Formats: sequence, C-alpha cells, structure tokens
Amino acid sequence: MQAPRHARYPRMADVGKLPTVRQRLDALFEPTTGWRSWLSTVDHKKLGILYIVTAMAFLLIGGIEALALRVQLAYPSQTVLGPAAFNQIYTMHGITMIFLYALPILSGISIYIWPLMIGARDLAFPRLNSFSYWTYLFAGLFLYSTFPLGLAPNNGWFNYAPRSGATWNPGPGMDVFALGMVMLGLSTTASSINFVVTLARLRAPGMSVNRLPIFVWGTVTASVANIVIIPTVSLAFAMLWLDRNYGTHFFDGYGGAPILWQHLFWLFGHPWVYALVLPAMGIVSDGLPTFCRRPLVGYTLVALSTVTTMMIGFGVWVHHMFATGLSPMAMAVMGAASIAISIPSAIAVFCWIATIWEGRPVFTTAFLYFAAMIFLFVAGGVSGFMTAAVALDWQLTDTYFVVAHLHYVLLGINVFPVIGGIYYWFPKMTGRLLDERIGKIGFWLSFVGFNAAFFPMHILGLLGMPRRIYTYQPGFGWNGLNLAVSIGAAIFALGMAVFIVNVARSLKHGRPAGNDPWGSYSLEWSVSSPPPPYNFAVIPLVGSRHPLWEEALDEVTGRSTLDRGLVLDHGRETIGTTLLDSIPDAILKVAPETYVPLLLSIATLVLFVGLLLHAAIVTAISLVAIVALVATWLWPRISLAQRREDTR
Amino acid sequence: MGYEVLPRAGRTVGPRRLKFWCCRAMLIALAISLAGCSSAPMNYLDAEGPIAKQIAELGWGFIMISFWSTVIVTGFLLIALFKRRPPQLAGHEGTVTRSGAGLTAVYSATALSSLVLLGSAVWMVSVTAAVIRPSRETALTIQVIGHQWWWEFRYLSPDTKQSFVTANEMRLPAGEPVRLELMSADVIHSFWLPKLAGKTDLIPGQKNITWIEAPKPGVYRGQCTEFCGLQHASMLLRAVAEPREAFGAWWKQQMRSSDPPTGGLAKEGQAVFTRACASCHAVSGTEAKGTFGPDLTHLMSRAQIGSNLLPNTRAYRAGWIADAPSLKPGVRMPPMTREISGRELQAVLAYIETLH
Repeated sequence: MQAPRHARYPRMADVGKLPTVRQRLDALFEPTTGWRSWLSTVDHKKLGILYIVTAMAFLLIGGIEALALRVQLAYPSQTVLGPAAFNQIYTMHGITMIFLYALPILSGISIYIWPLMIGARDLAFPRLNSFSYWTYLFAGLFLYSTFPLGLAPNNGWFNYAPRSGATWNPGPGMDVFALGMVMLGLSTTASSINFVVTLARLRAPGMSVNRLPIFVWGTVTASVANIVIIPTVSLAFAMLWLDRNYGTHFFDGYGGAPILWQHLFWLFGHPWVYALVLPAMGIVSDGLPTFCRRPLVGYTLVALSTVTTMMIGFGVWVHHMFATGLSPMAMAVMGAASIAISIPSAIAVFCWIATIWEGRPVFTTAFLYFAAMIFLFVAGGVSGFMTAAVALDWQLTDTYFVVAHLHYVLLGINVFPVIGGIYYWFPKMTGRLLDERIGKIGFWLSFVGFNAAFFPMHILGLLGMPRRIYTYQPGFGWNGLNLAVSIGAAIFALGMAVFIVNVARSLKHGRPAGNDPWGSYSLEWSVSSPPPPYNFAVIPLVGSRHPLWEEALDEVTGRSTLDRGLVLDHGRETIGTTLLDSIPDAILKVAPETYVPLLLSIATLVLFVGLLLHAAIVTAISLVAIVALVATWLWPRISLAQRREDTR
Repeated sequence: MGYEVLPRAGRTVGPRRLKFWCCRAMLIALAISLAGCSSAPMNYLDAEGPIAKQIAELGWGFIMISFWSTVIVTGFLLIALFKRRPPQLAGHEGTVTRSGAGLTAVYSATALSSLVLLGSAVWMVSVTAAVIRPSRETALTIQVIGHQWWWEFRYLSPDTKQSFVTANEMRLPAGEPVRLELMSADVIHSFWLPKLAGKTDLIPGQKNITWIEAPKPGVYRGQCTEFCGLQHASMLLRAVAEPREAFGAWWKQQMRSSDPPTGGLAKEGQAVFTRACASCHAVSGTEAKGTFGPDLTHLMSRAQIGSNLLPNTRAYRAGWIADAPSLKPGVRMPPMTREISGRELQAVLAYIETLH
C-alpha cells in the first residue's frame, strides 16, 4: 500500500439528521437504466440476481433431463431413449446439476446477501464479480454447445479415463467438456478469491469473526477449498485435452495411468461436494434462529464444525475408489476418515434440533424447507456412513444406492435449503413476499415426491441395480421400484413447478415486505427491501452477533448502532477493516459500472472456441484482446485509489 | 421488534401424521423388498459366498445403525417441532428469547454418536481385513479381461498346455476359492457377482488381484458396474458353479480343439467363417485366430450370446450374425449381411453349431 497521501478520517453521523448523505449517495451509485445496465453492472445485488436466475434455469434444464431419464427407466427394456441419447442426457444432467447449478446458486445467494450481512457496500472486487458471472454463463453455454447436435459429453460427470480419451471417445463432446471445465474453473476461482478477500477486508467495524453469520462461514470455507482444489481439476481437464489433441498419454492405458485421473478428479471432487453443501447448511443455521425466535444453539460449534468438515473432506477422496485395487491400508484410513466426517455434520444437526427444541418455531414455508433439510441430511448422512465402510462399499458402489445417497445429500442439503433460502430472502431481493399458501403446497409436493423418488433407489441399489445403465431386463426384482421412482420424480417436479409459479406470481402480486418481514436479527434486514444501490447510507457499527435482536435479548456487552455510523460519501466508497477484529483501517473504492468484464469474458469464450476448433487465428486474436482488456481493466485511475486511514 | 405474525398453518396434525406415515411406509417397504426378494438374483444382502456373506452381515449391521439413528434423530426433530410449549401472553407472539440450555444435549449426543461411529469403524476395518484374502490356498487362477462389451476368461494352469480361453460364461468349481486377475483391453470395467463378492475394477495397464468362492453349484448373475460406454447396460455376466468332477470334465472339454466339420453345409460354412469372421473371432485348431471378439471354440456350450443378453438359440444366433446392432445397439460386431449372402448365413450357422 502507498504512503497515506490522502489520509482522511470518515466522520460519524446519524443518517436521520443528514438527509444530504442519501442524496449524495444516490447520485454517486445511480445505476444506468434499461437492459444495458444488466450488462455493465458491477452491483453485487444485480449480479447476485443474474447468478440466481441463471443457476435456476440450469436447475430447470437438468430437471427436465432427469425426467427424460426416468421415462426411459420407468419400465424394463424400454426404447424411449437409445443408449447414445441416454448417456449424453445423464452426463449433461450431472454436469448441469453439479457444476452449473449447485455451486453457482450458492455463489449467487452469497453474492447478493454477503455484503448486506457483513455491512459492506459491495464485494471486494466488483468488476471481478461481473467477470465471474459472465464467464460462468459462457462456460455453461459452451458446455451445452454440442448438445443440440447430439454430440454432448457422454461419459458421466466424473468422466473416467481412458473412455474420455480420443481412442474410445472421438468427437467434440469430450473436448467441449474438458475446455468448458477449465473455463468454468476461471469463474469459480475468481468468485472464491472475491469472497475470501471480502471476508478479510470488507466487514463493517465490529463484525468480528465470532459475529459472522454461519452462511458467511460456509461460503468462505467453500471458497478457500475451491481455491485449493480448482487448480487440480483444471489441470486434470487440461491434461485430458492435451491427451486427446496432442497425444500426451497422461491417462490412457498405453504408458499413461487411468487411475491418475481418478485421484486428480476426486482430490477435487470430494471437497467440491462439501463446497456444495456447507454454504447451504449455513443458510439453515441462519434461517432457523429467525423462525425459532431464539439465537442458534452452539454458534461456535457449528462454525467450527463447518471448517472441520472441510478439513477432513480433503482426506476422504479414496472412498470413491475402493474398487480400484488400492492398498488395504489406504482404504482403511480413508474409510475411517469418511466415517469420522459424520461427527462435525452430526454436531450441526444436533445444534439445529436444539435450536428448534429451545425455540418457538413459526411454521413458514422457509422454515418447512429448513426443517425438512434436517431430516434429509440425516437420511443422506447415514447412507454416506454405509458407503464409507470399505468392504460394504465394494457392494454398494456404482449401484443405485449411491445414486440415492448423492441425491439425498445434494437435493436434501443443497436444493431444499436453497428453496427455503429463496423464500427467506426473496422479500429482501424484491420487496415482496412469496405466497405462503402456494409455498406450502409446493413444499409438501416436493417433500413427498422427493422421498418417493429417491428412497426406493436405496432398495434398488441393495437389489443390485447398477447406475448408468440405459435399460434393464425384467426378472431382477427392479421393475416396481423403478416405476415408483419415476412417479416420485414427477411429483417432485410438480412441487418445483409450484415454486416457480409462486415466484412468477409474487414478483407482481406478492404482499409488500417492508425492511424486516420475519423479525430477523442480521444486518441485511436493517435496510430497505430491495436495498438501495449503496446498501448502507452510513456504515453500521456492529456490537454483537444479532444486531437487530440486542434489545430483545437484552445483550449486556455489545450494542450495535445502525443509523449512526461512518459517513463515506466522497465517492463510491466502503470501509476496509482488519481481519480478526474488524477495526477500520482504510477507505476502499467501489469500481463504477463498466463493460470491460463482460468483454473480457467474451474474449475468453472466443479463446476457448478457438482452442476447441484448433483455429489458430481466432485463438491469437482473442489472446490479444484479452491482453488489451486486462490492461484497460488495470489502468490506474485516481478515482479508484485506495486510501489508508491513519490509526488514531 | 415489529414482528409480523404470519399464518400459522402447519401447527395442525396434518404434517405430523404425514411424516409418521412416511417413516412407517419406508420401513415397511424396506423390510418387504429386502426380506422377500428371493426373485432378485443380484440382491447381495441375501448372499451366498463366504465374502459376500460377511459383507452382508456388515451391511445389515450398518443398515440397522443407520435406520435407528435416523429414527431417533427424526424423533427428536419431530418432538422439537411439535412439542407443547407454554402459551405466550397476548401481544408477545414472536418475542425473541435466549432460553434453555440445549448445548449439554448437543455435547451428549455428539459423544454418544462418536462412540457408535468408532465402533462401526473398527467393525468395518475388521470385516474388510477378513475378506481381503482367502483363508485357504486358491484352487486355480482365472484371468478376466474386460472388452467393450463382453468378458474374456483365461483359465490358467501351471502347465500352459492345459490353459484355455473362453468368454462370457464363467465356470467355477463349487466350494473352492478361485484367484482372479482382472485386466482390461480397452476402458475401465468392473467385475461384479453380487451374491459372491463385491466389485473390483478392470483397469487398462493395471492388473488387479481378487478372489471369489461359490459355495454351492448354481448360476450366479452379475454385470459390469463401471460405466464403459454405449452398451455398459448389456455387459452382463453369468457364472456357473459346478461340483469338482463336472468342472473337471468341462475343463477337459474346453481344452479340446474343435473337430473339423463333417457335413457339406458346415464345411462350406467354415470357409465362409474363415473369410468373413476370423479376423475378429478365434476357433482353436483352425485358421480363425481373431481376438477382437469372443473366442467361439465352444460356443455351443454356453447358454447365452451377446454377453448374456440373449438365449443361445438358432433364431438369435442367426439374427445376431445378420444384424447384431439391432439387438444390441452400438455393439462392435457389424451387421454381416453385407459380407455374406443368405445361403452363406445358413452355412455359417451350420458350422458354428458344430462348435460344442
């Protein structure tokens, strides 16, 4: 950091007594109007909504794919989908749900809610945030580019070598998958770094680490993990692409090691599935207290168990590979670690139940989704415990038991909290409440349909039905259960449709929400719904874990001040604070709207298209464009000079 | 605090009953499906071999631990949701409090579950150690080689002259442990006979060793369980366990080369076979030495064709030769109708029907 040439101390003021502050901020943060503002925006709220809408669109696409698979599998020996179509659709279902829905939806909610929760005016790098979004969108479109041609990736989402190699899988599908994943990795890495730095620097004064909402703990844990693991998977996919296009033989059986792919992939893959659930568990940890009318029981335990889960999660990847002939010692250690990882998860479950027990639950739709998640988490957790048992997993692995397990975990701990979270925060985002009556119908359809669809899969797995088969013959005892699964899937889809109808309807006709429709406790509920572009007119001073409940809880130690705080109105500014205790030490600048991130994402897309098509000229042009755009982005500007605040 | 009172639907009996019945239905479904499923030939909780039996015990144990954990935790959740609470004063609905001490319960429950998990881990490791090697000397070694989408078996004997190759139908001596060497000719496959043992992968460039034992004579079903491409679903496996004498007789018969055909049509068929089929298929003792497809020396001794997809009857044999992809889409065997005429097809059929 430069010497404090422009050191300045922001003043403290009461926003009620300073109407000019709001006017100045309105002018400073005024967004451009019309559809173009969605392209140039760097506002975390707009980008959060773009992320959420895009991820939900992918959820819808992945869901339709799932229904197609279930039509084919409803009866034995059906020919609705042939093997080629089935393999592409199940692969795209996996890629869509795991990579294009499950993390982006959590990123989207985090991008929207984080700054509001921690008392900041945006994320640390607003332009990088915009780049993350557009790169995510373009990577998604890129991954789908060959789908309409019937040439989509067809090797499952974990894409085992050597069937991913050029010998056994010619055609563009695998190249699209490999390059698309590298591209998506850029987006994920950028957003993860953004979250980590935001957490480190942008919390409001007094928002110390022991006062953070658990959702923030979840996302930052996932982000740190992503920064560690994304290079592994990006490297693996880059090596696959080299294998396919330049004969490097990393993963094939002719001098390469197919098993190397599995290590690289699951080194990434297992921490990744925790990245898909920890923020969602955070949503539940933060939502339950609101609806139980009491603080979370065991805040510190839940926060630490979040981090512990991820740390153990780095040491369990071999449990995906128990049948590959590894040494018994490696399997025993990783199996035991996979059993041990249920302890931090169990702690979170016990804390949630204790919170409901000690509280006075209000049965809103959001609360129903959160409570259902606890049940689904337990059911998905115990089946994970079963697959952790090495010898038993030799039977369970690659059967429908695993399919049941992963859907209980990923739908139960991701989709249910996410839908609950949308019921919870929709009023903050739009100013209108979702309809509770329709919401409850949707919830019960989803809950019943979900269990009807996925519970029988456990039994199918125990009866020996392998996963990833496009058809089966009668006579294995699988017929009735498969039909039940397909019917359940249809009911579940109906529940999701009711949710979508509710969103569409409530956008216009929902009851106005006001600032705080749930009587909640965290900072985001202290601002208007939807919040102004600058979030907080003055930066609040946080004195406790529940800034809006201090009076009710009769907090002895800390009291927050929300209307009186730091005035930052010399430009688009927010406050920078220290890592652990959140003591202000800098005034940070929030970048203005710009098209540069969008253009950079487009140039990146062109680069990957060039690589895919082996079009050297296209690749070269896009590289030049990328260099030029990065230079434009980084060009020093006086309005963006960060200023240090001298210690007083 | 400005708390808005929301509609309090849900505090009725409806959801409680529904959840209760969901739980019940699941338990009943589980019990019926697993206990009564003698008609499920791949149900490994009703196991037969010494490996699968020990794993099934572990499986039932883990299912019980899982089931009761779920029931107990869900029970606490339901009580927490619906327990009677002291009424609140009018006008104080939604008041926030910090009552109660749930933390002790959290600590106790965590300690208890950790003990159960520790016990489970010890059990899991001991069963794994118990089944990883056979307790006795293995009787013989079979090499299993995975192909897209069929199985090659090489029965190895210390005397290499006694070794032979067959496909898709595996024969085992009942009551004897057999050593398996698993390899792949193309992509990763996984070998699985659920009633006898868990899965082990067949990985190109790697040789995995495992073992298997069929306790009594009978037919055991299985299939490939690592996704291996278009016909992964139809890479079916069949193992026939026989008493030692019958197994020995079968071995002797498999070692024999095929007898030269005697009939006129069959002789003509062999010529057609050598021209049109021999680049992929082998028949020992003849010029046909292809290794891309299954060895057909003793085709007629197998009960099924197409990697156990279809019965080995004349109609299916003819249909398979004429247009295999219509029976198994994506199969590597091309439709032979372009190569051979109708009469030649009859001749080839006559020839391969001599391959006992």
